[in-house]
Amino acid sequence: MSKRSHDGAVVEAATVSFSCLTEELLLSVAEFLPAKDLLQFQCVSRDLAALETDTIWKQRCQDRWAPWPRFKLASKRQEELEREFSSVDQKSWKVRYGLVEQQATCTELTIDDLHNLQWYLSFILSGVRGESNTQLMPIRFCRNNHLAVMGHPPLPYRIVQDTPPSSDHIRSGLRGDRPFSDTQYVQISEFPAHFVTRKQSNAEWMIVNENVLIVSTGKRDWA
Amino acid sequence: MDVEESTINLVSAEGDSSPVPLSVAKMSELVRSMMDEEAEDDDVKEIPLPNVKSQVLHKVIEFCEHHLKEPMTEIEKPLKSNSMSDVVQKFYADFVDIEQVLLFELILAANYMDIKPLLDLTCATVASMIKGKTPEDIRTTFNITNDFSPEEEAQVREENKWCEEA
Repeated sequence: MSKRSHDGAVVEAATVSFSCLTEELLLSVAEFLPAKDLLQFQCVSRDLAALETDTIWKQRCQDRWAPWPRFKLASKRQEELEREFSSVDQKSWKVRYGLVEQQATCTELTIDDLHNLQWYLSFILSGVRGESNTQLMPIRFCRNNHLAVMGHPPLPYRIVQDTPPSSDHIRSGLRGDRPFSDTQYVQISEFPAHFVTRKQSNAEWMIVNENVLIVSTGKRDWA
Repeated sequence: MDVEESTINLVSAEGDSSPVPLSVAKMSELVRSMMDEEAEDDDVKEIPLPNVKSQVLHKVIEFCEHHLKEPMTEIEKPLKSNSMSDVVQKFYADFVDIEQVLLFELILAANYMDIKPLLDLTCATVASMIKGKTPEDIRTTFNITNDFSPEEEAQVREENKWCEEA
């Protein structure tokens, strides 16, 4: 490369720099960037914003969602994604990454989560030899605001949007990897308050009190 | 290994000739294919590389020579660290601890000569200089002009809002 200086003489082009990288080479750089950095990178200039990074974004989605059973990019989930994010502006993997990120890291439990997810319950048994849990059994938060547990009468439930009572008595093994919510708890019948937390490791919920452990395990299959 | 390996001359943009063992030169797919084309003629002794300056070519040869002795660890995508010494062996981390101009020259040379591990190393190094930085820091680091209009920039920021919350 060469260009003309002011007096018309041909001079060597300015030193090689970032701007010399072709689109192909910029993509080779981008492949090494984690999602957050890739996003920042594409905010730098028009050229970088226009880079065709969607293949890289799909890979980032795959990596990010792999430990989350509910979001993991299996073929079934792929179909679900097409249905859930069907508008034109939701087609790109970059946009989907952002949308799923919001869903999967939201720590506010909603009534829809209770209705639409598959939930399991186990009783915590305290005895002289310490604590143990019963086997996990499937339960269902019905739309008529009653919780269906096999072998028990329906129990009314609601999400209370208020500061829960102290959860200090809940032992560490029942605490997940994030603190319990300090803005909501679940009230089931007249039982002591159930504390709510969402695990970072698998993006599933835990609803806990001194007697029961309730966990979500992804979307419900049955209608 | 007592038999001396035959060598080939790689000729830089300036016309300087560097004798290089065949196994080293063949790390470049470009060189390899040029040699294959002329396979019938056993006496290919010179490969002209008019796009590669002497200083850069010497670095490239140094990389290839070392790679034959101690192949570079495959670099994980995405990068787990923004320090290259956490990602590759010491030789390679030191190898790319260089000025930006030379780093970009090496990217162009690795691309032109088609040497995948060198291209990976140099591109990963640029990525390591981006990792953890804000768009403004990235512009400063690489002297890139912000050519967004205020409206475009506001839009880009809006689209990427979830990132700041995460």
